[in-house]
Amino acid sequence: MRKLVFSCCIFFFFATSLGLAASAKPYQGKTLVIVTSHADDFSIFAGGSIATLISQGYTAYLVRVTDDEKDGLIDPPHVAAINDQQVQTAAKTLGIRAIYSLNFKNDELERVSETLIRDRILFYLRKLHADSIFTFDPYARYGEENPDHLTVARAAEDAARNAWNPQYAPLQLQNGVHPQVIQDGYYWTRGPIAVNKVFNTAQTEEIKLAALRQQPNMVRPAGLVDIIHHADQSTGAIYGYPTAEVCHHIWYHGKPANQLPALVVTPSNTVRSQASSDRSQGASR
Amino acid sequence: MKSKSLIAASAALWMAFCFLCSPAFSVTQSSFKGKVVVVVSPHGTDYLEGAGAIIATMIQDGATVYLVRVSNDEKHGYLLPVNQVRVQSYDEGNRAAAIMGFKQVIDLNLKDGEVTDVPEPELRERLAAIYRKLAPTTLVTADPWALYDPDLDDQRVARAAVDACWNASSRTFYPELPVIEGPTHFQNIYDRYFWTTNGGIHPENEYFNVTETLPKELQALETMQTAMSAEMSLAQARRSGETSLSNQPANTAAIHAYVEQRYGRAASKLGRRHAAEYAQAIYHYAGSAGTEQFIRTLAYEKKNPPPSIALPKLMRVEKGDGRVVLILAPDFPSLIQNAGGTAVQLHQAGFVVDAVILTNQGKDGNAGSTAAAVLANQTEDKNAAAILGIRRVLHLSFEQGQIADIPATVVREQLLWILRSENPETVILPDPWIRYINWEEVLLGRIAADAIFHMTNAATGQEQQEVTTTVRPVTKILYWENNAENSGNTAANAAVDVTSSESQKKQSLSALHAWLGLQALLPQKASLSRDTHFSGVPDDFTAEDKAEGKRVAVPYAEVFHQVEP
Repeated sequence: MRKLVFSCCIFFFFATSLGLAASAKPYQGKTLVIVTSHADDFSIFAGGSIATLISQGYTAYLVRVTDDEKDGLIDPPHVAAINDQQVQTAAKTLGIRAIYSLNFKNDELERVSETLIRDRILFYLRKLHADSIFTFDPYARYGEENPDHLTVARAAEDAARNAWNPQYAPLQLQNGVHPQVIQDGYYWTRGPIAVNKVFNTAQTEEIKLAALRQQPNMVRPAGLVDIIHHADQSTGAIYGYPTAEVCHHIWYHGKPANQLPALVVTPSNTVRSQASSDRSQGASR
Repeated sequence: MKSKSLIAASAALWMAFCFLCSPAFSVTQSSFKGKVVVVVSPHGTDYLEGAGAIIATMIQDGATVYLVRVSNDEKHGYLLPVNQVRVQSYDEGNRAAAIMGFKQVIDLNLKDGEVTDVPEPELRERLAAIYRKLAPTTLVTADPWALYDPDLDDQRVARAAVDACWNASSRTFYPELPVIEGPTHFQNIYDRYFWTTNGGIHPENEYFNVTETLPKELQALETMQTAMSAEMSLAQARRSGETSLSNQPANTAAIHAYVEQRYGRAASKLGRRHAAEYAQAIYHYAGSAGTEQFIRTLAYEKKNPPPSIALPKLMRVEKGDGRVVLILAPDFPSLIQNAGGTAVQLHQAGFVVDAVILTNQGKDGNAGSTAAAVLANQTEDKNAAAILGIRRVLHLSFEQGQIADIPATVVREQLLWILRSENPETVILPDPWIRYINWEEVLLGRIAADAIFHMTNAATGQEQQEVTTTVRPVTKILYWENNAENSGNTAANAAVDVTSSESQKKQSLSALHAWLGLQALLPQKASLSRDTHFSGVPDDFTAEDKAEGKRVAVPYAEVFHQVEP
């Protein structure tokens, strides 16, 4: 009897611990793909939120759309090279696992086919088995005056909505790349949007600031990091947190009623759990 | 179906909700003495209609003001050949500018009505070159984010004008310019004023007492006889329901009365609210304080959450008597889901309902090939349309998923053909100004709004006059609203009770086998039927109609933002 009681206690102890661990990491096993126009957008506007989501279990990847050749004070080739180097460190500081660069020309995305940008983002959403995306809000208004931001946001949203449909970019569907259902998206912003999610970034603000300090070529002039920190504090004061970032959170196919595990769709019209065979390719991600 | 006062009230409420960046509405404290102002106007009359007296006030105050006229205005008059309209608009525009007192007028001479197809980086570079030379402190232009301004030219020009502010300040942009032009100024323009025209809605946070300067604006507008004459004629046709526009130019006295009535009265009305004889309002945006302004907005919205979403008013569907209603949709499922019940109600009331499907729906199927999906969908759309009482379905067959790459004027041309041959009284289409919806709905909505705006302008798509005789202006636009739950979209001001047509709606959706086959791939939908080979209409299909119905106290409703152009 004592053995039984002891076993039950041990069982409950581990069950409770696992439960607590699960609630602390609600996104364990999920993948977040961050789509950024420029190498400093994600860290300035959502660095704290991204670090928070990573601490809650997400594995995060960064898709960087432009070459950032114009964001610096010297010639474009050197500016692009420096920014390329600095974003690697900044992303690593936030906990992002890898960066994929699409290398489109900085601040000239409106000359590029939006379908092409969409399809190249779509490839990474499928390849990385994304569950969620984080990008600019395509509907931001006053204050959001950079056309690159809006172009990338539109393309990323379009990709997220349609990555599940095998008729979109069908040639991508080979060598283990399958259609992928993107459940939800987080949209950061620098202008008014429909804010429906506030991240308390108290625990991750320092990580964000450290990441920003890794990008002095883009996050300039001196003192800008302090200005960004002050803005995060001001935002936090509104919502009762030491620091905060705001965003719009969206479910692309309706909120799953029972929070099903992420599923992938194959062209042969069968649905299977993402835990199945192609999940085992995780090592190659 | 609706009174204009209701529309105005709903519009005002919507305006209050839509991104008030600076909640305070105050009299301008700015002095413009010594300032250098650049006015970027998409067309020759826009700056006068949107902010003429305010600009005249800046000039009177001591500012040096330049006007950049972007388009050649060749379509701002329909009684003469385009080249003659262009000449007259140019001459009249220069006379108006002289009345206003601009230091210089700079013409970019782009094709009127087609500026939307000029790449933004090209337009931006031309404006940045001007900014670098003139070193302006202040920009006055159309509001790039205004809602319900149907003119695509306005948005393209305004966005480029704003984007060029920063580009002009950065040495990494356009390194060739200093070589060609000599010394230039690398400075941002932080002080920006935005107007809106064509019925656009935007937040206004500053007004000017224009009692002394309004006469200049009115005089300048009267000088623009070619454009004003066309504008008057269209307004007259809309008011009276006439089927064709006047073929006589308006005389000077009539233009004077029209300008006084339209622009003078509006300034007088606003003046009364602010203890001035005449006042004009504008949106003042401080580019240097964008983040602070955004944080102030967040604080304001936190303290002042919008009251419960404005209730749309239930519309009574009148007898149709054979009048034509045209529904424009990117694909047929979206038509059914957003306006299918309304189509049934209109058909039963005696309207003739036709539908235009923009895309080829080649991606809405799981049969393995685009061609098979296109074929299946076109056949099944017709079956579904018959259930809804839709007389015919026109498929424009643009490639689904690639509309963003097609020049807007190409799509508009097709829509113009249909609008001019159908002469619909009412057009139903997606609302492109609401947020977080399918991008092809946004694109269709924007381009179609522009097509409706242009359809009475004979200078747009001239060859179409060879086969279309009379062109009646559209008198009612119903932009369908959706995604309210996900986005807080609150623009709906009208609702249709679709309780009795919900079964046809479901039946018509059931007829779309190709689309349903594709939906079966979505795990969420599949889980609802507990069957991975799901093939029926989604169980949650009526949820949105039910939610909207609750707001207007009927079991099921579809909601719209109604505009009477």
